[in-house]
Amino acid sequence: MSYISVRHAHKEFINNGAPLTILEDINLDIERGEFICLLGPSGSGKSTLLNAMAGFELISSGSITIDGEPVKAPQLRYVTVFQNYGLLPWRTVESNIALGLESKGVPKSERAAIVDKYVTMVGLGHARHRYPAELSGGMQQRVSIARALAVDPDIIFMDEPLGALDALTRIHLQDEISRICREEGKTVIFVTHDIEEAVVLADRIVLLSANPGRVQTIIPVNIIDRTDRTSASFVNIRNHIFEQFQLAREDKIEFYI
Amino acid sequence: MKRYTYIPGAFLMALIIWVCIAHFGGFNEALFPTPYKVFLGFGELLRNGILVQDIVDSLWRFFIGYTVSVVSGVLLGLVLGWYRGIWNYINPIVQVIRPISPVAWLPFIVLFFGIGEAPAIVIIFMAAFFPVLLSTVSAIQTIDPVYIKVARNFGIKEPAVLFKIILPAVFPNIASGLHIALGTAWIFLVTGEMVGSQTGLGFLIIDMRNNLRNDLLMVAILTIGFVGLFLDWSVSMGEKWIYKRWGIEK
Repeated sequence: MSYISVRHAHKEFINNGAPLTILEDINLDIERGEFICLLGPSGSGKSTLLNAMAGFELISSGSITIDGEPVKAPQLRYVTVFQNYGLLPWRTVESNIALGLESKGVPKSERAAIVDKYVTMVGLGHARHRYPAELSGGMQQRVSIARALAVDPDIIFMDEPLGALDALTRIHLQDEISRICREEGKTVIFVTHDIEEAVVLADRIVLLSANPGRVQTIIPVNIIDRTDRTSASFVNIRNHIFEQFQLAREDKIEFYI
Repeated sequence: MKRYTYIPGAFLMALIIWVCIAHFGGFNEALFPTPYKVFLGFGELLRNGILVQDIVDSLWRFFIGYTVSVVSGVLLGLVLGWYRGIWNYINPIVQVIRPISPVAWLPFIVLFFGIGEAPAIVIIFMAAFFPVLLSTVSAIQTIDPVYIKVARNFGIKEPAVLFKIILPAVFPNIASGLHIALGTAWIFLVTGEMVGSQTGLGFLIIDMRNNLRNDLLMVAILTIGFVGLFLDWSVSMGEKWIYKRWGIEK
């Protein structure tokens, strides 16, 4: 059995008395150390799927197992990075990064060194004593990533973490997330609706179609230099996904000018 | 910079109207004092130490009543807001009690707490308690879900989560409730001190009314206004600091 295994996952909500299917028969196998992007239009249930794997919202039927164990609740071994950062505004950068270490029972004497390692890794050594409100969106997301890494998790779930950032900051952080997560050997599940972002980051892209959310296709990404966004292989994969993405849209004929 | 012209301008205008009413209103000077008489009255009450003593006594009662209501309102609100099942049972009762002026309970307050210091403090407490309680409960029920997700993800257990995450996360929303409660409580200080207590700005008002010293009555009224303004300003400063730290645009 694979490391993360999703079998016939089904999720529905009751909307005005009528059941609404969000996820339909999702099957997915993810291996340890893989970087997976869940890519899809809005309504494809990509965030719902991520939340189900992370244990925040359970699926209605089917099964999700991590390392052979069914997912029932969020755990410190599988940490989530949120789109709106989820930092604690009353704590400094350092203290935010230490949050998970406190629950983990890491002795105080060891915390400082761990915090120092990750605050430096995300390039915020100079801002360690500042508060989240004093940081830009990009810097806040770096803190959130450092906080996730600090607990040394097996899996990092990322729910459109760069969605609220400007284009240049996004590109910069994409490269950094790719580098850091691969260096640290983490398994990453990354939700995005940005095709280019998925190509830059993923080992495999899981393309979801909308209403209800289904796995349309899974596309492996084999690029030698991920940071070169103009190489032929990059453009090829992007175009391939773009075609698939058009198919994934429910309303194919609608164009907006 | 405009503040510096608005504020003196406003006071000057009020002063002119006051002088006009006093001079052209045809009232007995003992019943409606001129600003000058009130100014002299200020001096009188400052010299004999009554005013300062009354301000100190009032602030002390206010401090106790308000602090107890803030602590109990926030703690109770935290628990009731978090465990919604209980709140559903408490809420209807709160909604009935809330619109009743604390003064209405006076005979019962005297019955339970006697006269003297206690009724004033109890009335201040009651005036502040409900705004604090309700703003805390509603702040917790509308908490940004990301904080709860973070708490669950990073393994912060109940009940520690209440003080470690939930309370600080909603604190800016509670702060506005604390601000409202402060104003309400200060208004009820006067009423509270009318019963039983022999000092304080509320007592000063009753005392001067009974002595037909309307100039000193006016001194007491103005003092209550300015001390209230100062308290309000202090809380605003605290609130601003919180909004800045929490990164909330107001």
